[in-house]
Amino acid sequence: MSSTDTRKHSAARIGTMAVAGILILLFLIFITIPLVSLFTRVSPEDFITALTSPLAMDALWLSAVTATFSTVVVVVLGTPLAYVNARFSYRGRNIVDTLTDLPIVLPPTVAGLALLMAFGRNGLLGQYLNIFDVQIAFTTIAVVIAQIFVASPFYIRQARSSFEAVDLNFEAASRTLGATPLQTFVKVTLPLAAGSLISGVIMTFARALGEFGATLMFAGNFQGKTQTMPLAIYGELQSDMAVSIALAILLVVFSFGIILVVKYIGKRESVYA
Amino acid sequence: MLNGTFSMPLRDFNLDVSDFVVKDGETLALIGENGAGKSTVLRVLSGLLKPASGRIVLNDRVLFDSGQRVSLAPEDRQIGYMFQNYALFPHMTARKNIAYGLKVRRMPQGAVDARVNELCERMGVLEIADELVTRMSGGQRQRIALARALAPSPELLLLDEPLSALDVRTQEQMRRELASVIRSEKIPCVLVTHSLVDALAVADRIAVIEKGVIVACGAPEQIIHNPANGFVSSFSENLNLFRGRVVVSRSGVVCVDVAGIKIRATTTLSGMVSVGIRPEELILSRERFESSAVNSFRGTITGVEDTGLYQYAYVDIGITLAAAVTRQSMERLHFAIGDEVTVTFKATAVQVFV
Repeated sequence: MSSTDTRKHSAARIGTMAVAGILILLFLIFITIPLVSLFTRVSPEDFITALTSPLAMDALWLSAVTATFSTVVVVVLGTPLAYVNARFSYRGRNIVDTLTDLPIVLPPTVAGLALLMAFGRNGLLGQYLNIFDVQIAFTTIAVVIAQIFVASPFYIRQARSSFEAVDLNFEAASRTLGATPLQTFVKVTLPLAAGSLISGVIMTFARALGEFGATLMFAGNFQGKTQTMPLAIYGELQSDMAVSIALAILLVVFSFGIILVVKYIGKRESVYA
Repeated sequence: MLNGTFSMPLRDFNLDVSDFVVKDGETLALIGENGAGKSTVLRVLSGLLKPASGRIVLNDRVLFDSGQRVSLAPEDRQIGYMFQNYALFPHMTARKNIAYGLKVRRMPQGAVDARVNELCERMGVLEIADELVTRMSGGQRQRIALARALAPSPELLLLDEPLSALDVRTQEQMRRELASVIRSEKIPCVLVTHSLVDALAVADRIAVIEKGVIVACGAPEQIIHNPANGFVSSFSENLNLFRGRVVVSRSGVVCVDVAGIKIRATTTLSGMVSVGIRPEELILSRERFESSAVNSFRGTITGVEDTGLYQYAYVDIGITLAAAVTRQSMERLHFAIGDEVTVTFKATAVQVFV
């Protein structure tokens, strides 16, 4: 190969790298600029004032309570399902899996509408609940239900794969040592899957916290009752922009922290592998 | 005593085991190639797998009976199972691993501590008892796995490839430790291995399993010298395995007398033993030569075999030894059937085991 050829090749390589570099930079700027512009719109004093306003405090408190509650429900209901799907094969497992994954791709407005059709005053279930004077739609319970519906796949998917990652021989060893299936699950499987399960819990909590569409459709936007942080951000856009921005900043920082934590847990996980 | 008869379809063949009997204090080694169904037998005995039909009885307790629809769960069988690669709980210390089987049975804490300490002391792992098992060497893990399996005082001990996860040097020592622990437990023990050397070292009886069926079963010397199948005979030829008696001369020289041939060895064992000499350790020469190796025998080449990697020359010195010769040496020295040769090997090349 002549030296001109070599030069041509290395020039081409530098060209490729330059193009790739520019594309990467463009993307990072695209992601960063909107986030940064949030921070440039309020002074620290305004931020504090906005965040401590009754409306913001109500939204914060409601979000924290509902997201926590729905995460707990998802964990309680989702763990057995995730474990069974990880360990046993049965007819229709794929259908069950698809069903539990569905809310991830479903538009939240569709979820909201579906929930309304089920639990609304004239809904499939709602009409019977109505007889007993139980109303679910447009209450805090509706907020929780919407969050459960939308966020549950994040936990169930993660839990299933974390159970699958636990070597079957650990469970077999536990059984031969005299432990019942339940003891084995609590003392061996859960601790070994814990790190990865916690990642699932955190992601689920974050998704519940960010829920907007289904909540708006199914629970409405009432301060202190169904107005969570995302709804408050949307609602205050017209009247008090500072509140919207303060809440938005809070969510950005929180989300960023969550991803860091999940990544850290993921790294630590490899200890048992 | 364990008595089992069971069958079940596996992927490529049927597992069909009948009158599988192991007496108290007896160790049965189940040997066979990978995929022959060895580990499946252990899983069936322990209750981790349910056979299609059969009956398994341990000390008058029916563990499984397809006719009576009895099938005890693994946790109700009182069977100690040491898994291949040990399956020690990675999130627990050695002590917690050993205590596990006692805790789940709700033994009082004081009694648990006493039993765990006793076992740790016996296995020589007391110093590392509070360390996580993930930080331990193969030999330490094996001792802990054995202690964990024995802690709840099982009525049957199952060992799946107990030595295969260890490096060669550790294997020698663990083989001896394992044999002594098993002997002292006085319960039936079933050990699965693909290594004839391991089987000979620890087993009272050997059962050979091929494609799910036990094709030979008997005392080690019976299995070695009356190989009923290709699997064992390929082993005994290529490992130079013999049974013999340890003889110590007045000057303190230790020999193993194999059919009148005295092989110098280094061992503290006495009585009837098995000896194994790896074919790679044998040096073949036309003339006798001066060397530091103490074993030197004249004999006649009775056969030559080409396995690809090595060429084997079979030399009759009263017993037949297989010597591995590289292709280059074979071509250079032109060994042929009928040639008179000298076989030389060190005393330390002779593996001696019970």
